[in-house]
Amino acid sequence: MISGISFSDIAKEFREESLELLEAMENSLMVIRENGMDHEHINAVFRAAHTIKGTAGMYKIDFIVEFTHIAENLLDQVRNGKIEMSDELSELFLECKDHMQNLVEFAVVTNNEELPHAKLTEVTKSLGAILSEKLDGDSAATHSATEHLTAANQADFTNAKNIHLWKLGISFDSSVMEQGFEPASFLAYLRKNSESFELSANTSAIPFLSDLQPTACYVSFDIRFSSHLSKEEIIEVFEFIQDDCILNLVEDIPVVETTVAEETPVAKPVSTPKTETKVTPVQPQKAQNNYSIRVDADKIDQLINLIGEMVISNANVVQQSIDLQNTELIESVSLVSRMLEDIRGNAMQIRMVQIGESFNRFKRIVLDLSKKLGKEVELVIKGAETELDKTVIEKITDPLVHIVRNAIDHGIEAPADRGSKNPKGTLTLDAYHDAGTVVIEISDDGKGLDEAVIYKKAVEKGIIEEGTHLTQQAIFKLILEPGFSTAAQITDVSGRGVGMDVVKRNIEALRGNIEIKSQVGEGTSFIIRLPLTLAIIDGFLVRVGETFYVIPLDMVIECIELSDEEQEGMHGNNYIDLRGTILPLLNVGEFFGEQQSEDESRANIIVVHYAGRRYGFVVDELFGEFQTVIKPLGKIFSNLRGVSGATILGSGKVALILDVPMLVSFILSMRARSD
Amino acid sequence: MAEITKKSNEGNQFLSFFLKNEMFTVNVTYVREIIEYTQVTRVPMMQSFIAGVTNVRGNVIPVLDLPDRLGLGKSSIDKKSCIITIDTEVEGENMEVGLIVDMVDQVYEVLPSHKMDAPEFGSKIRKEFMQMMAKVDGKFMTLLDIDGILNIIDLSRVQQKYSL
Repeated sequence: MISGISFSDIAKEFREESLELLEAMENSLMVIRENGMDHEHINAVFRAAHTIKGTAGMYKIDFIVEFTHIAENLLDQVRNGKIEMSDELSELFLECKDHMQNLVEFAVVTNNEELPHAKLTEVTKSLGAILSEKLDGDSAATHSATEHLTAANQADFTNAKNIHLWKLGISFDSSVMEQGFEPASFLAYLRKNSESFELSANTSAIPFLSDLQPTACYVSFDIRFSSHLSKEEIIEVFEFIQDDCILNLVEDIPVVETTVAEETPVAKPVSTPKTETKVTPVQPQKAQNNYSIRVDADKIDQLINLIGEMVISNANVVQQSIDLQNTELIESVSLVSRMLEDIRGNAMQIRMVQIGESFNRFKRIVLDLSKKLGKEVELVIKGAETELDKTVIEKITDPLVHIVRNAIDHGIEAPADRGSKNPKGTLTLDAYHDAGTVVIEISDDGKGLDEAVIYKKAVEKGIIEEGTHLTQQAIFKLILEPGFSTAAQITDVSGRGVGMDVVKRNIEALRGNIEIKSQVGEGTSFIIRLPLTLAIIDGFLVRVGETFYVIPLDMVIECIELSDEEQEGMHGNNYIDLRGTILPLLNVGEFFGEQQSEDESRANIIVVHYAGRRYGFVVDELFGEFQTVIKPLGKIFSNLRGVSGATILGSGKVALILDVPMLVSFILSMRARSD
Repeated sequence: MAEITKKSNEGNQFLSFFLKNEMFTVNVTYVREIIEYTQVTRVPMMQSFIAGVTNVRGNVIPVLDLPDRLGLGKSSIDKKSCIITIDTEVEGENMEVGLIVDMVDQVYEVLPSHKMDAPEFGSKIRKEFMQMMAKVDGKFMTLLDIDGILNIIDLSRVQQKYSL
């Protein structure tokens, strides 16, 4: 029995599933808003609501069932075309979606042991009232009016579509009602879409009253109906309960009507296999829809960890096989290495998610906000297929929301203030890969950032001291400081000065980096660079003093030897002439205070690129490519800039991973301070 | 009966070891394992008592030079040097830390009757590193305060010249 499962066991799953459905619901509603009413999407909305209701019913979360039921009724009317979809309605449904989400979260938090608090109940009531009003009002008003209208429509329909006669045998699983479904509603829906409908119930399975389970379903039906619905559409009606019922749908060919007697359930099995349909045809359709399995993220992490361990152990094996100088062994080992590399690649792929899903969420935010602020904003999404580690995406969504809100609130002007520009502002979200990092750009064509205003404000707020010299970039970045806000008026959208510092913090926590470009009157771009993944990278192994360092391979352009001549030619400066361009050098050993060994005659330069610039790192020895499993360094090293993690070499020694972006910006800011 | 440590509920056993010929102890409930000294990779920019990181069965853990941390000077590594790994919790997350000691001695049972308050002054090490003193078998020993020694704000600070 279902009641044997306690809610707390499945709360997490219930929450995840519901949130996913609600997200799908929102996406579909947004599509409808943009492109107008369409059958497929309204059905998706209905299905989502219905499934949530069903699941909630299964676990007896009555307050969700009650609320969803009302919303579902209205949705049903809309999907049947009884009530016309409007922007107002879709907004209402979006609100309902939000409320359902709150209810779900509440149920999960309280383990469904409490009744919703007053605030939630109030919203349920008020939304419920609006819903019922729409439902009654519209249906009452339109009922009589549309009665002949629909009749006329239906006539059209009849002419347009072929009406077929169908025979349907349906027997429900006895547990169907315990699953939260009401069989009658499916039949009612079918009936609504049928021109004629004859139903006979088979009650032979009903036991004696003493044995009767009130929650079980004992009745099966034989239905003869004529409908414009196609075979697939009829089966779709029962999609939700397809696992809990046996359907037997046969087309009743009119010509042979006389030969098929009314009460011949026997006719079903005899009918030709071509016309006989089971519920299964729905399955392949699902398979096309990107078949996926829900897996606990911990399991994937574990798998990736294990593969990481294997990569490390394998490095050891490779080393040993080379030491043994056994060619056959070396060959087999290299084969294993190659396969391991593939496995690693595949495992990492599991974690990768397209960023588009996360971008879609902004459609709603942009719509709601621009409406609230009386601005016209068009959202342009690019690079939605760019893939990124799931954990990174999760952590980046909040900062993105803050930036988008700020862009609409402070960046894009009201239509009247936009001068010669298109009165409708444009907000662009873009994502692309660049040198082992993922770049996310949020640009608006608003009024841009005013250096002077920001500077003055920062002095006022005591963030910087009057007279401090700052670069343009540094001034722009002041808006990311805690307690900074340029909005003259504090709105509830933004302007409290919290938010943008969250952006900075979250991005730094991901070892990412943010850059701001802006032109007064033309707009602002936030450029966020993030590491592609958090687990395994291809690296380049070098030695500096006694320490081994790994530099992410994507950042490395080339390695060159620093000859004595060149060293003399530097005259104490830290740059060299690299084929006609100036390459600034960083002596890693010196910078890190590494003890310099005396006999180091030969120095090497690794040329790295980052954000369109090249830098040279001076190191002692080069070892070449190295598969690097990133091990976090832990809390103690949280203030350390320039080293992003550690890895274990084949010898068991620990090597440090250089964080090139951090190191470069760190050196630049140290430089700026000393100037 | 007064509890000697916050964490202790498995008796009051203390692991003793030597730093610069002086005996110190930590409560065994914190101790995960004792390993031979292995190569420690120095991490740049950190304070001198952060010896670096090392590999303990596939995990990279930070290692502290304990005598240096206590202000007794850098440890001199020899074949008796050991790393005691400690399990602790920082901001709700588990953290494993290695402590370099000169030599591990034995486990003592410290009864409440053995314990004495840490001296107000006169000790070489900072007060927040000491939990209390004890006299067992006629010997004085310092019971170290792991939470004080592993204070994360203190440990995570980078060297002055690298701080922004």
